[in-house]
Amino acid sequence: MKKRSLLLATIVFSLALLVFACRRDLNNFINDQEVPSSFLESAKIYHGINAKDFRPTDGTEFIKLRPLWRDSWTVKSGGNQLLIVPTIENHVSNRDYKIRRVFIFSKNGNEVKEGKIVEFVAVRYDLDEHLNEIISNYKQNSIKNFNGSIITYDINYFPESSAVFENGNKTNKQAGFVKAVNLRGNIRLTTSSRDGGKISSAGLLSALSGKRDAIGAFICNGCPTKMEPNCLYTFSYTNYYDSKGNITDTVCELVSVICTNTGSGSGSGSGSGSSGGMSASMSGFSGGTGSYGGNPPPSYDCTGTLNGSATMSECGCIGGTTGITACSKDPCKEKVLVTQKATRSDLKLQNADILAKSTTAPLKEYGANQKLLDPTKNTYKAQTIYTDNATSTFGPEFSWNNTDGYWVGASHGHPGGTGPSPSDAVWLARPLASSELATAGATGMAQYKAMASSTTMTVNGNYVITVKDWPALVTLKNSFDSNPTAARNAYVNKANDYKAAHPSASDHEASVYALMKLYGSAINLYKAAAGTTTYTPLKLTTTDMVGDLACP
Amino acid sequence: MKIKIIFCIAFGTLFSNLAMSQETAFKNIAVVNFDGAKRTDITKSKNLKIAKSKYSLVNSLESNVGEFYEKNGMLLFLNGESAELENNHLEQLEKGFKEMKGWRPGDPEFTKLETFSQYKVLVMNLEFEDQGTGKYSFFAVSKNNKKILNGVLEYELTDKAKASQIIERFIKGIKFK
Repeated sequence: MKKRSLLLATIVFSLALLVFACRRDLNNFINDQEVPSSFLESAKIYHGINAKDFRPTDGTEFIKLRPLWRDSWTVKSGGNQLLIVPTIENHVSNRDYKIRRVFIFSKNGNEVKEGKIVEFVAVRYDLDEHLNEIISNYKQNSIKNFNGSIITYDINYFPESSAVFENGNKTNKQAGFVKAVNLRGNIRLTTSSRDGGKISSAGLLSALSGKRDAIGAFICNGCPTKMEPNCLYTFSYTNYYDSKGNITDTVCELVSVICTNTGSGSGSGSGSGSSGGMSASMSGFSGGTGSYGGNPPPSYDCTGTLNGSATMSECGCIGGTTGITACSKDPCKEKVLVTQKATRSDLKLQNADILAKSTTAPLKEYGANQKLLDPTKNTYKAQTIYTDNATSTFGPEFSWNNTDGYWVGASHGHPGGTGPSPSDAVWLARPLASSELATAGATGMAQYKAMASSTTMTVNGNYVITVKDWPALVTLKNSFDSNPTAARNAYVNKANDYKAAHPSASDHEASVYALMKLYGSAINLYKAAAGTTTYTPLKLTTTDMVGDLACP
Repeated sequence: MKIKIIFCIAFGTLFSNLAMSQETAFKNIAVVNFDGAKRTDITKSKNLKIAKSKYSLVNSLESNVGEFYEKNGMLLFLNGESAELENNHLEQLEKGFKEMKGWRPGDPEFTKLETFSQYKVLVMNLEFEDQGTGKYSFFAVSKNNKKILNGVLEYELTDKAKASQIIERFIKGIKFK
């Protein structure tokens, strides 16, 4: 009896061992991914002939990626068979990103005629599940539901091209990687991809120096406020272009940080998830093959501070070095966020452009939507400034998806110089009834409510509305929508009442008073002097006028 | 003959008193013709039917400024002050009010800018159908841009024609000091 049990256990164990040892072959067999030995040998010959060792330049050492032939498989693409050979991949800290790097060989007849290194960068997308599908279509203009980028290199890991996909469709954007290291106080950058030469080194260096968004429309998400001397920082970046091929925006995202205690990296590192490649590694980070030292990668908070304690909340990034301790509609605390948003280089430039257009004859209201690329991050999607060809109305366009962006408000100009109108306030309540926000659920709703604001640019000053009481604003919105003419008359009447008491008051002063009087229970209103971005909350004074709210 | 002279003097004095009594100095701003309107105050004004409108000035004016007058159930408010005004103050006001109202070309006009020899006037009319009332508001600026007089005439929509005549006569009778 005991002999039989022992024999049975041995057989089961052997079978398990066999299956485990041959799981890749079995998987390839089941999925029709078997690798013909002739294809494999031809690829090895191609690689042996074409892959070269390059001499180090500029104190850097060249990375030669090693194909992991034993782990190869095949993928069918348009009637042809591709040989896929994985290679070294590095650690990725950013959970939103999945990155895979492989060699792809293709045949012409019986011989391999082309070999490429391709990096697939997926953003909030199950890359491992769909890897073969993406490889099969990586040269196509559409890949179902894919969000991310594909960067193609030659066999020696020199960049050739890049493509950015949004919601499955190829865009005119370009992507790449840039690595940064702090060498004795000097930040050195190395970029990849053909587009790499176009990345604003000054923009990234400025961002890494703690001057957020200081140069042009350069946005860096997760940029550390301090570059640790023993860490290698890898960023994925995307360049946005206008119709003339000029870069309009660059968005960088920190995807990995690899540190060592000694500064002399050894380590190996492979496996799934990777950082993007660079064509040369930094001195002191030789090998370029993965993690350095045994330390876990440091974490960054939402301000980009190393090991910081700031966290994302319903009202944005709070805690840590932000100085904001809790979510609050306290205008004195919220004015910090309002000012920060208005000071962003991209929105600041856009607002200035909106005002210039709105106050240039023929006078019309111009404006632009403010949409995030991701509702959990502070990166704005580039927007076009447009007009409804009306002197006193402008219609924003709401969306809440990763294709059109996540609408968190709009900015527009008032040619006549009056302050924000009731329309500008009730805008903010309309999305609450949208099907897109309903689909996004409670999380999406909270994200929207936390970030929604309405900006009005005038020659007499700039105004921002935020919502302090959503139910109250919904009630006002419903009343407005039931009779817009009556609502506007009530607003103009209230401004006239103010002027009855103050005959020589300006209409912009009267308009702000009217809005505060009629909608002040639901909104916070902030004002910055014309041409500035430092906002101050407004209040109705005891003498029934508009004044600055004194903040401690 | 003597009787005729006495009659003429008496008639002239009476006519003069009747005519001139309508003209009253308002602050140190202007002389205006109230056209028989009776002086009242904000408290008494609240008893008028027209003041029951939720848009009536008496319901929102919180400071004790200006003067109230009543005529034929209509409520007239008047205020003014000395100030350094821009040459295009009224044009700016008109542009601002049109912007606030969301006015588009083709919409009914609700403002009117008139120039007289010694002053300019901006008149606007708002009607509140849900209350059955309307309001003429005007802003008159002296030629030297140093004085401004403004007024509001509240009326019931059924009296709009009468209100229009009253406000027109009033505006034409302004004499800045």
